[in-house]
Amino acid sequence: MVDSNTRSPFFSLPIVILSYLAIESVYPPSEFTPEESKNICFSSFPDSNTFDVGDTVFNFRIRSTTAGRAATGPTTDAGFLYGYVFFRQKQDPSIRRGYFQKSVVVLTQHPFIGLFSKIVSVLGPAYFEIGKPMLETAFHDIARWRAPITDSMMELPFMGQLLQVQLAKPQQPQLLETSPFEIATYQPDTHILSSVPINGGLYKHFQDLVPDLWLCWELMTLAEPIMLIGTSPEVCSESVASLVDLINPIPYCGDYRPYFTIQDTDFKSFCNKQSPPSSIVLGVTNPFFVKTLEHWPHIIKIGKPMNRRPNNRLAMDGTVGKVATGSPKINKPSSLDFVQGLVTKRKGAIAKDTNLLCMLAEATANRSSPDYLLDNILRKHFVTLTEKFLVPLNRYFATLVPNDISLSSTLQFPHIAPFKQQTFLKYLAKNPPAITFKTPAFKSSSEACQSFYKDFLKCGNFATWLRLRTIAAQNELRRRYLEILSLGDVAGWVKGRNEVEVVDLLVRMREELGSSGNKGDLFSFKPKLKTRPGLSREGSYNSSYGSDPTLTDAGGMWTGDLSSGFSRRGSASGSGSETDTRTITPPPLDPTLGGLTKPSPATPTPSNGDSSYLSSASAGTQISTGPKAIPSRQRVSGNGDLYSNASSYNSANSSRAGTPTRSSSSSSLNSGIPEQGGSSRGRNGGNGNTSRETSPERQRKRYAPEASVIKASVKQKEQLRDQIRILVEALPVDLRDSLMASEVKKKSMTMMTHEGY
Amino acid sequence: MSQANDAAGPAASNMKPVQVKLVLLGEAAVGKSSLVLRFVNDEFQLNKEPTIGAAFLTQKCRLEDKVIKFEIWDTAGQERFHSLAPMYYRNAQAAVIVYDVTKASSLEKAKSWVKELQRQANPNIVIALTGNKVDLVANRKSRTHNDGEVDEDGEQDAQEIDEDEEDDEDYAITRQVPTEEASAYAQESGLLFFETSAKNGQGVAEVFTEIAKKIPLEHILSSSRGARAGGVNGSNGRVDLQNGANGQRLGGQQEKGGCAC
Repeated sequence: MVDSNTRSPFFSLPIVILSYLAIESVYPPSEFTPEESKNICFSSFPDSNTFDVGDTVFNFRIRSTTAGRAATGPTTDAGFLYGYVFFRQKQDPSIRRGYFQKSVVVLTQHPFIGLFSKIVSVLGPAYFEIGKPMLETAFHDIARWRAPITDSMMELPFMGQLLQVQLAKPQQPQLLETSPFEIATYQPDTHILSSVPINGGLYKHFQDLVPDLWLCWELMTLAEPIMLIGTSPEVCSESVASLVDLINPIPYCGDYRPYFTIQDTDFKSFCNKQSPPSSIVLGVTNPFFVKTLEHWPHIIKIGKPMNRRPNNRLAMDGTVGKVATGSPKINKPSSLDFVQGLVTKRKGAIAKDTNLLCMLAEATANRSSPDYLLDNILRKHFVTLTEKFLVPLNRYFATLVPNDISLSSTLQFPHIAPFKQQTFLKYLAKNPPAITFKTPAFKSSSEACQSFYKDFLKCGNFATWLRLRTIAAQNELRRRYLEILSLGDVAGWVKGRNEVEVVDLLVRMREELGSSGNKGDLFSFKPKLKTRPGLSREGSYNSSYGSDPTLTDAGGMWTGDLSSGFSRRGSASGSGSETDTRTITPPPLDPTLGGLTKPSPATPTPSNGDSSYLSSASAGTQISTGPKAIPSRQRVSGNGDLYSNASSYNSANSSRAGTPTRSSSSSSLNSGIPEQGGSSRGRNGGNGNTSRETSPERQRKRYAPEASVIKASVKQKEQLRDQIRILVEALPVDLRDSLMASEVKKKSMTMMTHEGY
Repeated sequence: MSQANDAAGPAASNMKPVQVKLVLLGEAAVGKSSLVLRFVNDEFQLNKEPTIGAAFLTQKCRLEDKVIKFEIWDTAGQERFHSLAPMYYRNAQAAVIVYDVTKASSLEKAKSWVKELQRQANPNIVIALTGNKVDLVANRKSRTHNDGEVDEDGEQDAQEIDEDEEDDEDYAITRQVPTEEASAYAQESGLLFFETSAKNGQGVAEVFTEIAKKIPLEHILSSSRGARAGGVNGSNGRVDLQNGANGQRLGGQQEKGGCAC
């Protein structure tokens, strides 16, 4: 019931030392399954003989089969492990093979290429110089880091350097402009954007292919399968990471392997004669793949930065890439001296930005700007392009989200209308994005636009985008809903309302108190403060009562009068300072609170639809607010439910008045009322509208299964208690009694359930 | 004395602090971590576990009109971590070299650290030699006659003072390093000199205050600006991973263009 929020040790991860494709040591000692071992070993070494003597840093992404090692959950990261490798190869005549070849690998759940590439590039050489104490030190340094806070700058001390790191949220593009670093004082060595390779990967590896980047962006946006052949693990792994980053904030739905080897356990599932998976980016270096996967529709070839042709192809227009791809040379897999370029059947739909091309060409020629700045410029262009692309989708989506939530309109949980593709395309025609589409293949640019969006709606990225968007919108709705419930002008709203409406709102508020509301009091409505002994038992006795908790049993504070009992308490009293004894006078809403939320103008007067809905529902109104509310039409039995408990409540109450019991649980058990169950939503059954029956949780699930259910905060619960008090105030006395009775009933039910566990 | 120990007050909080990298070095179990803990959290912990690698802590101090943010690297004293030290003192503006006044050999180790720093660290580094654990010898005058032998009487006396709070039972609780001796050494080597007790806090804040006073803060401020500007404009701002990764980092000898940070 308490939001424990226990975080896993985010940064504790094994560091693996490999020697000649075998694990030499692991710190801290960890077990790997045979598949993991194989994948780690082969992914941590160059896959082909093209690698020269020296050091290299690269990364990989492999499947993890050990429980708890990889990230879990509904994200595309689930089940995958990221490895960041420092590989050293040098001639060593003392070794039989004549070469020293070892790798230091940091394994983690996190795709923080900027951060961990930095880590291994510091750790690797130090390890080879110093040995084991280095691993121990690095591991402890990392283990001492605070739990990660995304989107804020963290200072991470590592082996004598203080790294300043901005950890990216998923799908968040990281640009210098939006980072906590100032461009004027930016130091790429210690100022790290977690998702950007050190010094930038996009410009570093694609600088000769910039004209092709628009097409690459289209392919990534449409989640097309791509094979990327690089001349080294560094080139291919950083290039793949840059491609995946290229379309942020569109969530990339597919699988990607920055560095995939022929030994990978997934080799057979990717490398066969069948058509490739619908969305994948495979980074490879082994020329074997060129032949094996030549049927893949999109192939990008990228050379090593230093081996690039000296003449400045970037200065040419966008056709250069095409010319290169047309060269028959590419299809010769034996040739390692391949020509860079993009081979694809797709015709680009989006026009290149010639100004950007010219500017980059000039900067590259002059060497006037550092690479990380050029990289930032390039990435910024594509972030902007992606954002422009998303504008129509976001705007259309916004029309699906109800935007007027008031105390009355929340009578059902607001939900989001379905995304209708045809409607969207019509909307798109009227509200085209600020993107220039090329026209050759189409009659008009608007046709090109429609066609591109149609393709997008069919691809996995759209589904992922819609899911995440829906979750975000649901959460936002939920926040607003809670805000209205807890801060809305209830005192004003309640005027002229009929009881059923009031009770309905009460029930919904009570529901938001969740399990903590079960801790004893009746809608926070406590005749005789009878739950206070329970409170003191919980160790959160509140001194504002002005007396020792033991005194309460002596009756000193007991008034025996309903009206005195409006005291805020409950689990939220853990917050202590806010709790105080209230009198019956309904306190006006705190003006500061009132200022926060403006109830919509519709609030005070329910529409006709609302009232008819209510009257039909009234017969079935049940008072039960368990968090696990079950829709139960069969229980609907008229107002009897509401009132039948009054007598039992009274008896329970009187017995309590006579002999105050310490434990509210025992007293509620005394009441002996069987569970009456039923959801506040159950009343909808009377309306014959089954779709309304779903509980908020269930509704959320339907739209976004993994949406986190936002709970009312402690403060909001306090506010809800206030609101409830106002509502209860407004009810006739007999109704209050029955409410309390049902509360006692519910409590006993809860207690029994708890004991049942 | 306590001036440096004040957290930066509200008046000073809007100033950009001067960042000072400070490294603690010294033999194992002389109280480096305890000294830092006293300085940063004003705490003391008996039988602190040995540090692995190095711990990192920060503390902001106010000195006159400036705020100094000490970035403190509290290194492991154990010998197996010795070879990591260059990573920590590289680019440090200050070093606190700690020995244990009840253990003569720890001063010898301290002297070897001083030599190493003078040879390999930033030439302008401010070094403070600090004899810790003076609480153990609080009631006695420093001895000049005895340089390493265990004094049975002294041990007993010390135990009366510190019955069960002794850090390490192997130590004789007698002063083995006379104040005069260490002080003279510090003076001839150009070091700041202090005697401290992490346990009762004696002299701890003073170490950091005096360091703060001696460090050329203006120089750090201006040179860090210079270095950053150079990082953007000079040499294309390239930081080649492979150069950075080839082991030179550990040498501690090369300086980045003469800049201290």
